[in-house]
Amino acid sequence: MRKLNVSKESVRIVVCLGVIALVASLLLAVVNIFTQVDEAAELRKAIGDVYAEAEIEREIDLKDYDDTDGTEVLNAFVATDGAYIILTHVAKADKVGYNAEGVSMLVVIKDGAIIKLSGYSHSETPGLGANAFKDKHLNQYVGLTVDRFDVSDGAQIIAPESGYFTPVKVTSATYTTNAVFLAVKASVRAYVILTGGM
Amino acid sequence: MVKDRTRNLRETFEPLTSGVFKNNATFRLVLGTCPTLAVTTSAINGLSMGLATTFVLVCSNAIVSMLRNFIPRKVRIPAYILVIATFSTLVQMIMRKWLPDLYDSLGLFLSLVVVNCILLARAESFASLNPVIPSVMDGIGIGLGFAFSLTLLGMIREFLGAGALFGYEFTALVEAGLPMTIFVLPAGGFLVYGFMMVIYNAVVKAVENAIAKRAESRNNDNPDVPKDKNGDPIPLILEPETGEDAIEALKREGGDA
Repeated sequence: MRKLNVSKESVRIVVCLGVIALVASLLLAVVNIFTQVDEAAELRKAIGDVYAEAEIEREIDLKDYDDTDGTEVLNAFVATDGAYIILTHVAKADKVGYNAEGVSMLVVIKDGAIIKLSGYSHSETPGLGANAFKDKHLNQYVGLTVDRFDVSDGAQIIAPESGYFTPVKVTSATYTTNAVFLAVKASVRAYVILTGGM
Repeated sequence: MVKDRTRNLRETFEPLTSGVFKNNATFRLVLGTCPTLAVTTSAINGLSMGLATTFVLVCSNAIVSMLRNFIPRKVRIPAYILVIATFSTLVQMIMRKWLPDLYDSLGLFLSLVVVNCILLARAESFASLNPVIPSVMDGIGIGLGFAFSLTLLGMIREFLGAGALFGYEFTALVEAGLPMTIFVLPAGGFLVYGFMMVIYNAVVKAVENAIAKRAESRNNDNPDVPKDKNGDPIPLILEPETGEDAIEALKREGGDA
């Protein structure tokens, strides 16, 4: 059998990198135990902050729910007072340029009208894209009934002349305004479908 | 060559102050420009990115310095990257758990701390050649200098671009339409960075000249300092008296005798 020629230096290199990698893995594993994020608990806390009027009664199974292009309904809950709390994620609000990727909105709809909404997560620039999540802008959706949204056409921005609701856009945050609008619209669509309206 | 000689207190703490002012990573060494321009859209983003980088820099400098005699030279760069990546991931985990808004806001640039050239540059040029304490001091100095620069740029850009400071909005400014959005955009980042670099370097140069002038006038006033016929101080040169002294002096300096 041929003897394997391994130099002392090669062994040293392997041992050195191996030891560093092992210690690093152990350290990260220990830290991970303490910093693991319980996403379900985070979501329930966020819902409590947005809609404190009622408790969550049940979560709706979205296994068979078909999303529109570019949006995804992540979770839907029914509150004890009959309100629907829907978390929707927008992957892309526009195909060109900086396009407000990764906007998630919590929308509360009760008796066919939007009663509350809030940005759940986003990575928009403060003072720029993040302005679209301020109450001043979000309040334009509050009180709108679901029939103000054309939920049949998928993830599209509606032209003002269509008769449906079109949002007032935030200066220098047009794509983010679109993302917020698409999230609200997808939430309304989910509400309509889940309540048997479509 | 590894410098393991004993240092006095001044030498130990020198990297701390020089990292903040004289060798400021952003304005003097022009390192880490990518995160500097990307995250300084607000003061809080700049501060948190600076502090996150400081943490990674201090920890990686300490570990690299501790392992400097153990890591083979051929694989030193992968080994340093491994150490830096560990601490960078650690910061990400911690921020995601306890500062989720900031984690979302810094986005990709938090992960990119691992390839920040400041970290690798300090590991290679300082920590791998010096003992642990000066390396930690260097990490703190350079890190705080970076955090200071990022916070300053963030404050200026946030104030001019969004009419706010650390998230606190000056309603009167915003309602008067004074904020100029360009300062929050990349073009504004380059503008502010350029102007700040000019101002910073001018100030540092003026301070250095003032210190040099003061030292010169102190020498001129001191009667013990020997002077030439024009009254200028003669530089003091200590020459070894014998060949053996010269060899000893060279050994002390770390050269080959």
